[in-house]
Amino acid sequence: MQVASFKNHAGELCIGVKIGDNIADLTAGLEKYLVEEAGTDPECAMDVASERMPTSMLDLIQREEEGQADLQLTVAYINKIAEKGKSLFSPSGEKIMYGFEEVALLTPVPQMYGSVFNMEYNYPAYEKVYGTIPPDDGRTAMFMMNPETITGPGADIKWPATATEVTSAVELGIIIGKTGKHIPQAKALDYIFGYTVVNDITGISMLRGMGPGRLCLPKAFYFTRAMTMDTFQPVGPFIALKDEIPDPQDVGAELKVNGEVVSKGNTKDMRCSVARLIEFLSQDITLEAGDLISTGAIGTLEFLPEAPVKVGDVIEAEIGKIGVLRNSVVA
Amino acid sequence: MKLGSFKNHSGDIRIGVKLDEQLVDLTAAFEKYLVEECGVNRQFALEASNARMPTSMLDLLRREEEGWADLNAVYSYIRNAMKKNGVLFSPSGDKINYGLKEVRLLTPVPQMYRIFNIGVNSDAFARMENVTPPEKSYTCMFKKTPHCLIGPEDEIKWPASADEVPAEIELGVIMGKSGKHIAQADALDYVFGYVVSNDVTAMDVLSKAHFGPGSEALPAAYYITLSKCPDTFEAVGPFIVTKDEIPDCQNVNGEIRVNGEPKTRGNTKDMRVEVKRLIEFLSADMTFYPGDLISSGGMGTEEYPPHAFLKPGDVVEAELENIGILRNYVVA
Repeated sequence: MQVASFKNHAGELCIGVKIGDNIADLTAGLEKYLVEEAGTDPECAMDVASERMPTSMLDLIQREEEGQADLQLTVAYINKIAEKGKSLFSPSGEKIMYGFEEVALLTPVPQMYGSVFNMEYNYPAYEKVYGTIPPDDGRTAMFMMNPETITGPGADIKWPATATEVTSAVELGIIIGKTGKHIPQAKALDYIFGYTVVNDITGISMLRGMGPGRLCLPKAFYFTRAMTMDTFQPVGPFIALKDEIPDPQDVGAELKVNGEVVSKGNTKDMRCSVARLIEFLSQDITLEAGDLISTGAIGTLEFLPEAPVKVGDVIEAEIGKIGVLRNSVVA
Repeated sequence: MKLGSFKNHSGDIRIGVKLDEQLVDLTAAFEKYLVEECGVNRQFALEASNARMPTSMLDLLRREEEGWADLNAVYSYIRNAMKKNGVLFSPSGDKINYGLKEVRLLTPVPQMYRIFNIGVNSDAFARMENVTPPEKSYTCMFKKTPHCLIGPEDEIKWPASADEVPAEIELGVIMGKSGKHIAQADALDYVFGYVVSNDVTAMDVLSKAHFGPGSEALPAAYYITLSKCPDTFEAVGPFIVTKDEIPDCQNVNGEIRVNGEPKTRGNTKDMRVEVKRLIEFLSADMTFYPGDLISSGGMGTEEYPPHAFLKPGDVVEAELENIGILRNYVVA
């Protein structure tokens, strides 16, 4: 199942599920289910549907297991009635099925205000290609972004004022589905709502020339500063739930700049696995439903994990089961 | 003005202003002001008051200049009204003024989620920690999570990942206006007020990191954010002091006392990168929003170093002159 946030023809924010070449409005879908299959009074079905399948993806995720159960039930029902296609309407008259050309896809969780964790140097290609000193075993470098840095599919990446070189990287993003702390690896995947594509943009020139010096090298101080520039974290277009990605350690990914493949790799090469990252971070930090963990730039010796970009470039970050995240770099 | 958030007797989160030893519920006071001074119909006053003087400090700050104007209007109104009476009530029956001990003070902006901390911002710090400071007029910035944030009298929970846990006293800057590309000369216009910030660190996350050869220290820098982000590791409060009360933010004394004994002392005049340059540096490519917190870096001197080490059972008091005392308890 692939879910997304979108604006419908009336400009309203909705949540939807991909059904073939269409996207179905989940809230309207649940309303129809409630009336047709669960005997709910049509008068109150819309209110109940808005509570159980809210138009805010964050609100749905924060319903944790109950929200996920309602999602399964709604999608099963929509699949059952999907052959009626675009003529489907909810009892209160809301359109259910849209063609992608009729809607504007947004980043999947536009309401995000919690924690956005970005991992760095989580693939061995880094130390081999760039000579970077790897983090310790079982640990990785972590920095936090602002939720406001996040943009969606089609959004512009704005060239910064304080960097002369900018790089792009494709990463597997984890959307947390259950609030927790002290989460052991064995249980970590239970805390995941789904996976998404992250294009991690960095004003890399701020980090060039990490000189000598003990404990903290001056340039390394600027990691967060180089990554929290406005528009530097496109996320989307979909969240793939765990039924699409049963094993997060075998996911292929690719980054194209102006159609040319520049980065390519597989999550099987991660130094710290998805389960270990959740254990590592949650040791002292509460992970909250709706938080995003971006698991580090994917790449190999042949197709490096970071690619330089310039004004005018079109970047496509792709993970097969999730989708293609396309963004342009503008001055 | 000293502004804070508190829980009233019904457990609701409200915003207040300190007047002598009392705390005034600003939303309730504004409702009374609307009816008695502005001739607003009682029926609509509560709704108007919730919109213009919201019970969420973040929502009030987001009203920027308009919120500031309403705040000044209600402040001068209530100061006069309190000269005459004992306990005041709003037209809809909400209590307006509380004794400070009747309420539970919270961190001033409990809804805050954008917390920017500055590292290595004093020469004393760089010398004592044997750290190479950032380049001139640049600084180290890292973020904290919303779960780090605690308020006055709250507990700092001992982390699973560390045995060495120092506190640092820092001048906290609360932003009052959205902006980007802010020039130093204009930077203080974007500040709403100042607050005491106690920046706690899980030190061994850094010090026990692997140090390799060559540019050996890099791995430790990877874990700065992690070492700063255990839950409860950013105490902020008790009040926001509006900037009109602090004419020079680069001359504020600070102290940390652990179990009553002074451990850290410093003055903001020793900052490597001043508040106005911090705002310029950070806003060059990142938009600031009202309610953002910049914690401007640990203060200290050779004699009273920036790190005040804590252990479970300690009472830690972080004090900034004319801003306040922030007391917290370290628990296992």
